Amino acid sequence: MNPESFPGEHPNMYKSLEENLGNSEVLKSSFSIEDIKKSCTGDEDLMFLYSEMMDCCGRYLEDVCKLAQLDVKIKEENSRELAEERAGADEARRLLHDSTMDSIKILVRNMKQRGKDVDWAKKFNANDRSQYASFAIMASFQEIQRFLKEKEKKNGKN
Amino acid sequence: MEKTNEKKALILDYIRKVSEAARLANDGDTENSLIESAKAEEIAKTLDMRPEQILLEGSRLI
Repeated sequence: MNPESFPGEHPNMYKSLEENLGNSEVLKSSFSIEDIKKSCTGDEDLMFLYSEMMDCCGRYLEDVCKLAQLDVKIKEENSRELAEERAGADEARRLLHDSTMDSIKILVRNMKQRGKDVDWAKKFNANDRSQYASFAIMASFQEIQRFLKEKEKKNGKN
Repeated sequence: MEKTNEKKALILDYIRKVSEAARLANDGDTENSLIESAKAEEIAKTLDMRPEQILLEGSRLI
């Protein structure tokens, strides 16, 4: 098995995600994207970098879901075509993982330069890809929750 | 497709759609965000689950 492939790449992360994301309270407590966004508000460059990071995180979550969907399909029907499709999707996810890590590192570096709070990024070890993946997925789940709440509010007004 | 697997696939599809809707809304693409959001709502109806439930179930699948 290719050690870089999903989910073999991050077995501990998936265990941790299962434990943490299963409880929405824990999800809220580890870090808050609202707080990170607040720290960037008022600085055009930081807001741009924040948006870029969140875009990458969202796309990463979507790629992870796509792979998990393919895994479900493969359990039903293990064809060569599906295996090839999965390999392609896994490669796309790996590349997006790299871009997502870069986007997080760039935002952290720029926030540090401007004296902003980057405690949320202290746990990141530059060589541990799984920590970035975990952050990207959790950040995206928080963003989805925010989006749904906002939508509910708008629907309530109409 | 087996019923459980069908449900798993729908949950994962819901997360993809709602995540895309959120990203598009942040990009200012309201029209396409609404389209993806409507697709997600349809999936939620099919699953007969609330969005928060789907997210929690989904987090266990990835």
